[in-house]
Amino acid sequence: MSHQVIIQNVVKQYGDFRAVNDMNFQIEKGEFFTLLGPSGCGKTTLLRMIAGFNEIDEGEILFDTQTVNYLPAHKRNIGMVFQNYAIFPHLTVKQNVAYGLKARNIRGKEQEDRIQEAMELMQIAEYQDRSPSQLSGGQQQRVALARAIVIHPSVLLMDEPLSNLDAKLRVQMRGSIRKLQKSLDITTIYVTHDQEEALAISDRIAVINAGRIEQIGRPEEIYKHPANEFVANFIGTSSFLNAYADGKGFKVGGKQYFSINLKDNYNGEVKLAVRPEYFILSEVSPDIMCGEVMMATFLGDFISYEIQIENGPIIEANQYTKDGFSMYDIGDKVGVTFALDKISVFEKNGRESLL
Amino acid sequence: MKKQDSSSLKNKNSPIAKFIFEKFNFWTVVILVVLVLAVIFIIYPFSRLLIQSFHNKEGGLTLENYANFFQRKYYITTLFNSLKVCVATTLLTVVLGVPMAYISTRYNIWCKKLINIMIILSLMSPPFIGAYSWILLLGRNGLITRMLGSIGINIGSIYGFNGILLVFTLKLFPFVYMYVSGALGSMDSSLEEAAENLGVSGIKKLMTVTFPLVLPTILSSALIVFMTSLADYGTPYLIGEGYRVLPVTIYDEYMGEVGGNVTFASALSVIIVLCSLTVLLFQKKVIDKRSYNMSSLRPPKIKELATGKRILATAFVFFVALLSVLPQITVVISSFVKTNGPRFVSGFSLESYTQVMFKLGKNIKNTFLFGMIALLVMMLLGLLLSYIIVRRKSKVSGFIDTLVMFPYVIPGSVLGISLVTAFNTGHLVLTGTVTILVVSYVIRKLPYTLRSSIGILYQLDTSVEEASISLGVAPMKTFFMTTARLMLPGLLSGAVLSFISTINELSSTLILYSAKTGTISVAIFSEIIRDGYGPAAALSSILTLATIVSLLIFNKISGGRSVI
Repeated sequence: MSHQVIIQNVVKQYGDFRAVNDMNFQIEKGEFFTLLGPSGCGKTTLLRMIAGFNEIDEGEILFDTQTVNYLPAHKRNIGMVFQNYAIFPHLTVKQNVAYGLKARNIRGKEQEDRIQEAMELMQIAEYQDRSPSQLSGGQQQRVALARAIVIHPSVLLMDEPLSNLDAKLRVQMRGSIRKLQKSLDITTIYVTHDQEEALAISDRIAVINAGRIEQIGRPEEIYKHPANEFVANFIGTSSFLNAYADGKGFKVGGKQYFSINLKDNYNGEVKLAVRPEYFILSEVSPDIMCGEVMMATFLGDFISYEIQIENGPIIEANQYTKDGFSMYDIGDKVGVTFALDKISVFEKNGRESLL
Repeated sequence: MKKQDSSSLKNKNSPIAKFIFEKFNFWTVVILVVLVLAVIFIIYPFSRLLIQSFHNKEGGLTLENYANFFQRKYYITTLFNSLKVCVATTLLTVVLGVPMAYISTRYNIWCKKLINIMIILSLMSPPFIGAYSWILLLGRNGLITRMLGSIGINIGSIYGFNGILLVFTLKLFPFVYMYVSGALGSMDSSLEEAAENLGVSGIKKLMTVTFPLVLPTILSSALIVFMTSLADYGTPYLIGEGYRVLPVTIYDEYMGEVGGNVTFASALSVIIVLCSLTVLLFQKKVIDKRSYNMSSLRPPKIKELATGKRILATAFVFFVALLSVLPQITVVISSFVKTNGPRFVSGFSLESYTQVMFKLGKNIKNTFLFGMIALLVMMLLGLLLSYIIVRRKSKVSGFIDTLVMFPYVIPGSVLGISLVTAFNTGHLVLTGTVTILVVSYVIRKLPYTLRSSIGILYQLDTSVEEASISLGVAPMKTFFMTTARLMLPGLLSGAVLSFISTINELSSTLILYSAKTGTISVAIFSEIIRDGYGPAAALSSILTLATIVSLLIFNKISGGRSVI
């Protein structure tokens, strides 16, 4: 039923601009796969190529073993959910859900059963005779989902489906989408620019930037081991520090030395990426990096600091209240260090990890 | 489903599969058909007209026609007269229409509905009926002239420049009024509130926020006014007397007593088209730089006026609206007045109606038959063309857009002459047929349908279609099941305008009609010339009634959306 989707050397060209630049990856059967990236990175373009709305300029897209390059969109058996829902405004909720079944000549009892099943799954059965204009955004999104799954698509595509909902509903809906996808076991490709949403919902994520894949991996992999500076920066928050490597380790801020095995016993400048929660703040000491607190924000379970490192950048560090603490004030001098096994080390341009 | 898939996948990499996937579909066929039709009915006739203007009567190549035009003061004066009338009309209609629109959209004046009905009604009648009615009222022997004359007031002559200007202004300011009302009504109130919030209010707010935002709309409506006044033949013919303008001269040269001078008329046609094109391009250039997409979330508030000001504001708007619809009222009343030859005598009767039913029933039938045929063709073309122009943007679709809008700047008489020139002889002889009339109506009146279809299409989201396609409905079927359905209100509102302006058309019909294909407006015109004022009034009333009925039907269909 569900398909594997293979993206092979795929290119989309607009004039001189490569919106999708030679992408290669494979989405497994039943997988929840997210295309994540900033706006204009090519994620939606790629999704629309899979849907059949954008032509494929180079390379191939396969559903299992079949190329779909020249298969018209309406023959691809795809369920698609749009950012603005794209509900047919002239049809009732039920007619919206029935639309795809009618196109497949599924009539009578089977049609009715499948409509009811889909509507109950999405909890919209009570609105079935209403016109879409009488529904809220969240309800419309449920109609859009019901309409997409009722046809039993081989692949489900979602283009930023939650971006028009308010924050609370967004969190609630992403939970429902995740459960729905698992229970139906449909290969799902999901586009979003919201990294938190991507981390919460996906089996695997492809981080995309400027038409290229930066990294593909499970959410925790990507968060813990970003492949480069872009990913470290885009997923979660990272502060970047310059350090100097000598083959056996590196020295930060001209003071503290860390022994670590870097790729090829790397010599020269490196860039460290540290998450706010992995900084350790302490008393000022001559052996470690120091800084001055520029801003302290109390957020309940933790305190967020902005710290100006001496002869260095401004970093973001969190201190957890459950660990017992004394809150630093603006202007306080603090010692700054970090847990070596929790950081990422890149070569100086940030393009490649040295771990 | 599955079977189909694999068959179409077999030759997956063949160039033919690629070509079919990318290029060949329903819309490609539509584009091809439209291009062929455009070449036959627009490009070919106008090329013939252009070529003909460089020939003399004997068929030799010459510049004589143009030389003739520019060397004779008589013709140059005609050109300047035309431009003078158009510029004055355009300015006056803007001066009249913009304040009226502002008052009626922003203040709580009384009788808004009635005022709008009067204004729409006057918009929909052919201009020459206005000229004719104003002659009945203010002419040498007019009702008001005589009444004022009896108490010693001389209002001066209505004929000539003043008369043309009066009729055009009252007839055409509704364009400005309707367009600007629409724009003012759809402006989000937060824009003006933001201005007030920033400390700008009153006149300054009006000049810095409100006015600049509706300026493109004002310019578009001014263009329509300019084009219409430049093209109109009936009004200056009836009320202009010695004041000669281009359309009248073209018609006279073409239909002249002794066979007419077709090649010279062609040259005049080319000149008038060049004038309209210049104005169109100029307007486009100004508008392109400043067109704004306004989506109204909260329509502007209607301000409450104190009773004194409210009476004044209502009186002003009501008075102008009444003046604009006065010709219609005059015509309807006089259609029930007894006539004795060219004169109205006292007492009422239905004589005029029985006369026209008996004599001119065929014209009445023709008008509605041709109008309906043209309407159907325009609706189909409007639907398909707007889609090509909006959703299939390409060089070709841009070209089609320009091409079908081109006749918009062509005066009816010029279109008539070019169609006769093209289809009088050769493989496709159409002169004197119903077809040539319908073709001329479709070419001239399609822009109304097209513009409003394009307008609504821009508001429709493309993803609705994509949703349908992804659910398994082929693109062409998707179009008819989703977009076409959703376009219907916009399509119909434009189509009603096209229809109304088709049944009221005079200038191209006058050149293209034959004994069998006369319409109501042709009949009215000939009756006026023959001083058959009774039948003319009766026919005009029938036309007015038809217009009102169309508007009512339209209102019913569109659920009270505004006409423009």
